[in-house]
Amino acid sequence: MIEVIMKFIVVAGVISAVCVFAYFYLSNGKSSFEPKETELAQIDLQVQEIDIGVKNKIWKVNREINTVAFTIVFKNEGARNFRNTPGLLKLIEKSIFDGAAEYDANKLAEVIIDNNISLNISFGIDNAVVKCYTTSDKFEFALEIVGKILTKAHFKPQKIDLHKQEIIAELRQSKFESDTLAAECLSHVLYQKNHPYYFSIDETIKAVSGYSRFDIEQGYSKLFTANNAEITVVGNVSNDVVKKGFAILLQLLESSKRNNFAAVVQSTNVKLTHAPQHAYLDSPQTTVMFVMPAVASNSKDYFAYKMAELVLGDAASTFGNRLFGYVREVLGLCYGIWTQHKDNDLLTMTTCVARTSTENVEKLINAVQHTVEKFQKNGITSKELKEMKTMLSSHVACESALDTVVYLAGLRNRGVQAFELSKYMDNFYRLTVNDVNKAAKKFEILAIVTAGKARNDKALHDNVV
Amino acid sequence: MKSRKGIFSTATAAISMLGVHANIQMHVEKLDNGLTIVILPTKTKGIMQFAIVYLVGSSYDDQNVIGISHFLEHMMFKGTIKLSAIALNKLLNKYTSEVNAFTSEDITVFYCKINPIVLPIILRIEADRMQNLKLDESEVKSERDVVADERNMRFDASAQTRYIFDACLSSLFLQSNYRTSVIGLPAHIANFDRNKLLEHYQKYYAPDNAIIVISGDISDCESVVKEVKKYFGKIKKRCGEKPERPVDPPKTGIRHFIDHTSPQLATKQLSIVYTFSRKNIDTLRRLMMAKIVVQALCGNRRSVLYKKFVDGEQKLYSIHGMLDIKEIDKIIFYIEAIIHNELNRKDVETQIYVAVDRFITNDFTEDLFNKVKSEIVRSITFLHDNPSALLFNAIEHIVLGYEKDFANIAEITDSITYEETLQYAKSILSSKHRTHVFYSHPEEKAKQSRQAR
Repeated sequence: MIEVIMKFIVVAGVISAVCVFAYFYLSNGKSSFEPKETELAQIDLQVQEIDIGVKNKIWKVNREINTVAFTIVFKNEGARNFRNTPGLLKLIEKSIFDGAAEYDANKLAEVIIDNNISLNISFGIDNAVVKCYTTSDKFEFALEIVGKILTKAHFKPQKIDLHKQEIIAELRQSKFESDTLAAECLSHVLYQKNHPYYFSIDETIKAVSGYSRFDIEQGYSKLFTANNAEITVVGNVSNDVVKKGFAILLQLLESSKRNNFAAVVQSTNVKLTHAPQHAYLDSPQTTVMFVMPAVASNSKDYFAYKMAELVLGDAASTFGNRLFGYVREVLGLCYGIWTQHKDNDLLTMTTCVARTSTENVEKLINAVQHTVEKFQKNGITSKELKEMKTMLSSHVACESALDTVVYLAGLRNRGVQAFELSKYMDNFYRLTVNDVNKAAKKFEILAIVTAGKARNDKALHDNVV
Repeated sequence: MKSRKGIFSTATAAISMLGVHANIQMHVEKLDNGLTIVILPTKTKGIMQFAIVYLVGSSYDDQNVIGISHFLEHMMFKGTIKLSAIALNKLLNKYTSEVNAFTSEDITVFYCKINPIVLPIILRIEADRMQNLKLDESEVKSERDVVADERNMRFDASAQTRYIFDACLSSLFLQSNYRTSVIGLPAHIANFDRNKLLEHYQKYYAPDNAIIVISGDISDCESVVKEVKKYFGKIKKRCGEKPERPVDPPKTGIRHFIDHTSPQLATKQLSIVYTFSRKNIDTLRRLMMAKIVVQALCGNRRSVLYKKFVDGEQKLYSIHGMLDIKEIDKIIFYIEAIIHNELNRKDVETQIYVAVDRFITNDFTEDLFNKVKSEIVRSITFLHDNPSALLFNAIEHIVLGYEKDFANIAEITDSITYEETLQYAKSILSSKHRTHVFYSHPEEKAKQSRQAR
């Protein structure tokens, strides 16, 4: 009997030891608590739509805290419609706060600061964006100020020259930054000189030095059209106040004579117009930029493509993507490497950028090519897909009112409708490995540009048109 | 393990004159092993910002391995004895947003944004990292290359920072490690090895040298404290006393001028530097006075120097001020300007000195003071809308020793008077504190600049 008990104890002990060992070995330190995706589900933002009689309805989200942020995205009013006047929008951006309506420059700065209004007006490649963040009690006043700046800016001649010189100085300095040079090189590889997205630092310097107040006013008169406006508001302010405030603003914009820039048809085909280029810069670091074809964000294939891009190298998945994991973590070739899906109106593509020391450029290019080729050929695993889905569930996009409004404006820009928002993430959660692997086939490096000391000797010429 | 409540503070004062309710809720506890827990609940739903702050930065690094604190920060992502680098990074990738870390001269911070439900995972990871860092030899070797590359990228790649940054620092500080950049010099980076890392880690990555700060969607502070205690409560203290860091003697009457030229510089950048004793900002009240002075002098478009030199006389493209407050040693106040390319640096510099002197005798009016003070108090409202901003603000103030007052920052700032601020401005902006000038400019003006000096 004792023998039986002893044997039982021994066997039980061995089995326990095996179980403990197996747990640690197989779990590889896996947390004993990993929540289900449903527990991580993003908070439903509950967007309301407010109709104020223009083309696009206002999106509004309520928040408890006494702040409010809004964006006005003026569609199609970006740099691409000013290709013949490069740098003009930059000049308008700098000059627009030099007084408006009854406020001179000093007074305008004072009222903005005294009312804790944070206001930014910028011009991207496709759209103009007004972004404002303030306390709830200053919302109406902020709208009033925005209306004055967008319709009655002074553009004082004595300040314009100073702004021109400042822009030229900045552009000249940018010629010594490898990232800017690489971006310029890429523009020259992808676009002909008359393409709306083409840019040249030297051309812009020359153009800016010649602009007059008349040119600025001409450009300004084409901007901020009511029917181009996509308005998003997040904060503690009532719908009635929002409706009333923006109705006044949009009426002000309607009453000014504006042109309505047309929307365009997007291309998804990245074509090279010139051979891949290198810009020499005497610097210990070289920027390497890769370009790959992509899928438009309003395409049904977008979600699978985006998931694939997350696995390959997007910044949102830094610690879990292939490029970072191999090129930086294993090989130690660079401090950072990320892909970025650029979904512009005229062209969609994905770029990958890394900076490395001169002697490592060739190794870096090889490593990236190897990773992308393997990705294209083999796709992703079901484990990777599961992890990325969890990551998307965990990601907290919307912190402040300002973060939330920027996030929503970005979704709108991609063509997402308000009614789709609550189910938007389901488009990612539904994906299968097959869906994503089909999208992974699209990832192919079409061109590589470099800026720095090291020349890219692995230029790809096959795709030149 | 029992916890002793250290300081519990909740500010409830409303700033009635502005009609803005600006109190910060803050709950602080200290465990028996020395770990401090700071909790900052806000009304933002579904979001938590987490940070663990180790009170060690490059100012504690040994002389021949300056940058080791920063390097150790990198190695904290390379896995523990229990969790491989891949597994660790996968967990961070899966459950966090904006996960990152940074090292300064005084602290190293690991932070992330999370859904509150995953707090236990993060606590478990951080408790593991605090005790069981692996420091694999091959990882040390490969990460050394990454750090060397980072140094290249941050300092050496750009003509605007190459050499000048290191030169400026070494002129600002004589004895302390503040005189070298946080990342270290190339010779230091080459010296990093596993043994030195392990020694540094074992000394400084301890609960009695750490603060956990959590802000965001927290309905019950006690249960968060309980959760932290579950993972950290049993870790033994081991940091103990930290080595004393040398402090420079006061520098009076010595002026440094650093002239930097390069064919890769297209703009004229001037930095006028005031240095004064840390004792000038020894309370939160004085810190806020300093911020009011800097803001009024050169903080934004409303400031005195901006109005005069950018808007008015158009001698500068831009001007702004920056306060650099180290934990010990001196305070550095930079006035940074980009000078119009056609103008002479010496002339503009002299005019700025005159303008600063006039600021403290004439232009810093009570009206301006009230406006700037109001601006700063109102800006605190935005912290309630942004758990990250609140967290990093709190860290800054806690590390400087203002933990007790941080919750009342709006009230304290609002109580500051014009008279005391004016006196304060006169003391810190005195010409005797004007100790350094750094000037970077295009190469062709080098001869003219040296003559003008």
